[in-house]
This record gives sequence, C-alpha cells and structure tokens, in this order.
Amino acid sequence: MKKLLYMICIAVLSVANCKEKEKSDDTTNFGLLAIAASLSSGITEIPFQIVAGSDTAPKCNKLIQGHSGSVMDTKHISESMNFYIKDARFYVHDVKLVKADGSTVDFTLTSDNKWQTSKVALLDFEDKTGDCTGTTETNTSIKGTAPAGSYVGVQFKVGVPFDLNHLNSTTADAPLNNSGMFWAWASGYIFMKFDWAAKEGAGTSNSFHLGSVGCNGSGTSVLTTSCTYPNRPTITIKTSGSVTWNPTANPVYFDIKALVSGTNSNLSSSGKAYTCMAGNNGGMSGTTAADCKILLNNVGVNETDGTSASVQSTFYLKP
Amino acid sequence: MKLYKALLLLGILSFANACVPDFLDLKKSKNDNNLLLLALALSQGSGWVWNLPPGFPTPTVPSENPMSQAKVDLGRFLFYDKKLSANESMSCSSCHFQNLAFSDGKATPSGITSEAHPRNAQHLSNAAYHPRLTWSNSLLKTLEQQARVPMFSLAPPELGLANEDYLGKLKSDSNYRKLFSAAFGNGDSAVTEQNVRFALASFQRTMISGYSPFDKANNGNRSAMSASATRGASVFNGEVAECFHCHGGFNFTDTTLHTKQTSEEFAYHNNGTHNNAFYDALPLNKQGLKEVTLVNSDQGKFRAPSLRNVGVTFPYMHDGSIMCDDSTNPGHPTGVASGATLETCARNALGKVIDQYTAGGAGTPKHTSIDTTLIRPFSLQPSEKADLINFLLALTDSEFLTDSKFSNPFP
Repeated sequence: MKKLLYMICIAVLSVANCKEKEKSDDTTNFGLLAIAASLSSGITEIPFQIVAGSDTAPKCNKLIQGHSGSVMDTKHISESMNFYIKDARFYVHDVKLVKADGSTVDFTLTSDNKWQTSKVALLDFEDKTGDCTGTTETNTSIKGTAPAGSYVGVQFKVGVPFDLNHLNSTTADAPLNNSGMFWAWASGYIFMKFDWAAKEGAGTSNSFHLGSVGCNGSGTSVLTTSCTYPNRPTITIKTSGSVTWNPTANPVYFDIKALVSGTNSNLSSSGKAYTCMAGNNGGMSGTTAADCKILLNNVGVNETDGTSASVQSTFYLKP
Repeated sequence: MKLYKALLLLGILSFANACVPDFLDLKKSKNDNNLLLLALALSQGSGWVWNLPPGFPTPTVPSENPMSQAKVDLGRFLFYDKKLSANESMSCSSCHFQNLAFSDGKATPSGITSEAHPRNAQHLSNAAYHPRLTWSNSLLKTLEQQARVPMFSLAPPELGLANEDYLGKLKSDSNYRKLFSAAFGNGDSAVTEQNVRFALASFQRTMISGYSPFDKANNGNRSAMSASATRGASVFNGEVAECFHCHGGFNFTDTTLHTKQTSEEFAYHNNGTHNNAFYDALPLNKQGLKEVTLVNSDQGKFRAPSLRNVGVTFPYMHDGSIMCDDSTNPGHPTGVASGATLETCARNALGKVIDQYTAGGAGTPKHTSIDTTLIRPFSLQPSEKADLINFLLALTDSEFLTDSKFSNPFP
C-alpha cells in the first residue's frame, strides 16, 4: 500500500514537473511536502513483544526455563524455576514518544472498538491454550498517530486511567468490557495480569495482578474518589546512546522472566506459591508483602505508596 | 423526558396543594394526589408490584436495571444453574440454600477449586435493602456489582468463570434463548455478562423475608410470639445488651437503604470476635474492611449482618467461628446429626454469641479497634439470655424458607 502511494506520488511529481515548471510554486511544494510527511516517518504503530530472557517466543503451553546452566540470561530467576504462562495481559495509556532531549510527543491512540479506545489499550499475549484460560485472540501492538520526528524511545503508563477505572463498568466499551480483566472485589480493572504455573513437586499456581488498591467511595457516590495505592507505573524506555528509534524494527520487549526475577515458585526447591493481588500491604494465601514487593518493583511500582518508581526491569526496547 | 414529566407533575401537585380552596374536601384532594403519585410511580417504573410484607419499605433499584417478572424468572434459573461455573460443578445455590435462608451451614464454603473462601456465606434474606454488599467490602454497592465477585473472583475462585465460555453455553440452550429474549429483547445479543448479572440481581431483590413470628406479633397478632420471646425483644432493644445499635431497624442491621431514606446508612464494626494478634497472623483477605481500605484501624471490622432468619444461618460471625457444640452440623447438606435439630444447634450457638458479647468480646487483650462504646462487658440473667434467644428464633420466617418462588426451577 505504501509503495503504491509512493508511486502515485512520484507520478504526480513527474506530471507536475513536466507541465508548468515555472509555475511549480510554493503551493505545490507544500502539498507535496504534506504527502511526503504522511507517507514517511509518522509513527502509527508500536509493537510489543513478549520475551522470557533470551527466549524471544514464549507462549502459553510452552515451558519457560529457568537457568539451564548453558544459558546465561541477564535476568536472574531461580536456577530451577521453570514455569508455564497462565495469563499475560496488561493495559497501557498516556503513550508518548521520547526525543533525545527528553521532551515527549503524544502518541494518540485510535479507537478500534476492540483492543483500544482513544484513551487506553489492552495488550494480550495469551491465546487460551495450555494453562491459559482467557481469550483465543491476542493483541501485540498499539495503534495511533504521532508526527514524524527523531525519537529515541517511548513512554507509557501501565493500567487504566483513574477516570475510567472506577466507573460502574457495566456499560464500558471494549477493551474495558473484558470480564477477565475486571477486578470485581476492588471495583476497578486489573492493570496487569501475569499468572504462571510451576509444575515441579506438587506444583504452584501463581498470580501477579496489578491494580489500584486502598480505594474509598465516598458518601452516596457510586464512584471511587481516591486510592491510597494507585499502582500505575510510568515506563520510560529509550535506545542506548540516543540512537533514533524505529518502533517496528525495535519493538517494546515485555520480559516475563524479568517480571518474576527474584521469585521462586518451585515447591521442590524451597519455593512457594505467589498470590500478589496488588500486594502493597501483604499478599494473600501466605504470600507476604516482601514477596509481592519484588514483583511490584520489577514492574516499576514503589510498593510503599503505589507511585511510579524510578527504575523498572520488565520493559526494554529490542536492542 | 421522564424527568421533565416528573417535574411537570410535581409542579402541578405543588400548585394544587398551594391553591386548594378551603371549601374543598381536603380528604378527597389528598386521595387525588395519591392517585397522581401512583400514576407517576407507574409511569417511571415497569409496573413492578413488590407485594411487600406489612410495614416494609420499598427497596431501591438501580435505574439501569428496573425490576420485571421476566428478569426475575431468568435470574431464578441462572441462580440455580451450574453452567455458571467454569467446570459446571457449582451454581450460586451451591453456597446459598433456601432452607437456610440462602446461607449454607458451613463455617466457610469452597468454590470450584476446593480452596476455602476467607469468609462465611451470608444469607440473602432482604439483600435488596443492603447499600453495601458482602461482609466487608465498602466498594460493592449494588447486587449487580456484587455478582461479579462469585462469578469471576480469583482469590479464591468461587464459580471460576475466567472467560466468556459460559455465555456460549447459555446461548445454545433454547430455554435461555426464550428467557433472555423475554427479559432483555430478542436474539443472542441479549445473552451478555451484564444481563446475567442484572437478572441475578433482580431475582435476589425479590428474596424478601417479613413474615416471621416477630413480624406477625409486630403487626398486631400478639400471640404469634411467645411471652419469653416478647421479653427477649426488650432485652434486644434495651440499654444493657444494646443489640439494636448495630442490628436495629426493620431489617435488624444498621446498613440499610430503601426508597423512604434520603441517604444510605452503612457501618462497619469491630465486635471483638478476635484480637489484634489473631488478625495480624492472618492473610490480608481475612482481616475485614482493612483488606479493601488498607487502613489499619479497619482491621477486624465487618458489616453487621441482618439478623433476619438468624435461627438457621449458623455458624455465626464472618468466619463462621461460632458454632453449636454438635460439630456434625445439623444444617449441613451432607447429613443431619443424630438427635440434633436446627433449633437445638441455633439455641446453643446463639448462646455462645451472647456470651461473647456479655464478655465484651473474645480474647485478651481486646482488639484495639473494638467499638468500645457498644462492645463492653455487661451481665444478663440466665432467664434474660433465654428470652433473648427465643426472640432471635422468632425472626425465622418459615414461609421464606419454603416459598416456591425462590426454589430450584429445574426439574
């Protein structure tokens, strides 16, 4: 399609050139400039790719290996912790492109009535095979518009914006009408849902569900007015050395091994089951606040107040 | 448009009231006003008739889900249908038995994964009047919202619906195609997650219990309640036991909302069932309101449940920790203990509850968040305790426990 448009453009140019050379004035140039800009470097898609350390194609029903001895990943998890993905979905919003000088330009989401509205997008890496029970469809990129420019990276917030998070979502539009991503007990959305199963020994079923907690509705209002722990991390990732970033060549990596780095859910190797539902103030079913802190920190949340931490290790740009 | 009409009518009413000449029959004009108001109510609703027990206020209904018989009928099927669980092993009715006022006789139930729930299954009598649902979640304000918890909850799973497969099962059932069409309009498009919850909520709003011996006595038939139970009412409402502070009003709870109230009323109390050390050792989801607010002083706070049908809703307290001595629970669906009846178990267990309150709460030292103005030691004569138990047992509405409107519709 792009090629076709390009050819038409050339044709138009040629014709223009042939006909009235001396009348090839500013107006024509502006028009051509506009066509050229819309064709070339405006950014319309930011792909995301799930990876597990050096494994660039992890998926449901595939064993994700801990360190096997020969593979030395930079993201360290327990040597023996092998696991299967059970769920891997998250929302993003407030997407911006980052320039070398640190300034940002909005990447405006376009609604498709399925995976994104103009304000929030759902990325879905689970396909309902194996231990995964969500939806067969997946979504691994976000679509929108941003002007052409020289960018070195991307910034986004994980989660659903506050003003959309606590509505009575009975009438919400896609992707906010996904029952698997609504957190009924907290009356808000699960910002990130990463569940995994370890099969060694008796096996463990593990959950990391990020979402706002400590929320209060006030008076007769159905709406929540504030949450003590927003848990909506801002992720800023850039190319190394201020190299111009090309999103389609260097997608955003979502590294699940980095996300669970520091945990051990292998029961036959002194591990435990992790149940971290937000987790700022202690987990459930025997999981402690310290256990959940590891996961919160890995995804860039300061566990003490639910604000965005200065560092995160889960997301990076494909080198 | 509706609002405009309502305002117009109200305007006319006010005008009429202000300008009624003295010589007009005041009684007649009042009746006319009532008729007008009735017409107004009917034009705004769906013509739903509540058939409420005498003296009962009209429940509030969310405007997006007005009552209809078709929704109630659909909701009754859904409530009893195991298609509403991921592996089709459980339904809402698996933890809510009509003969126990829709509680289940267990300390804590388990969902489809057999993982125990952190709290006791509540009875559903008069749930239509609760502006906050469940034991300790201040965020759950309507039955429509609350239904998501058993359907989709993950910690622990209850019905364990992780995706929308269940909607496909409902769509392929000809009975449901008819029921959903009648309730929400034609076609498969009516079979949605929202409509499932709306129908369940509508059915639950009809679970109104108000024909207990207490109600009968309260409405003039003094002999419906024994002399002992009548004396027990005075103990319940007196300034010594002070039960009524948290269990007051027609629904015997201080969390209520109905159409005659201008604002909702709700409260969470620490009644001293456990002390700080006990809760500190528990996971967060067993610590009461604190689980939701993450505020330390909310530890051990729970909503005072309605005491309607309390004679069949043991084991008592949020964790079902107070039970009769005969641990082979006679209310348990798997068997009836030899010689025991629901009543003997209730008498025994209610006695323990009263003992806990007269002691000013259990455990030493008492919980720091205990409601000290109401939870403090007091003494009752043995006869007063027996009277109080008889009063509590007079809140059992046997019609509610057997009414075919609420029973399993499947053959």
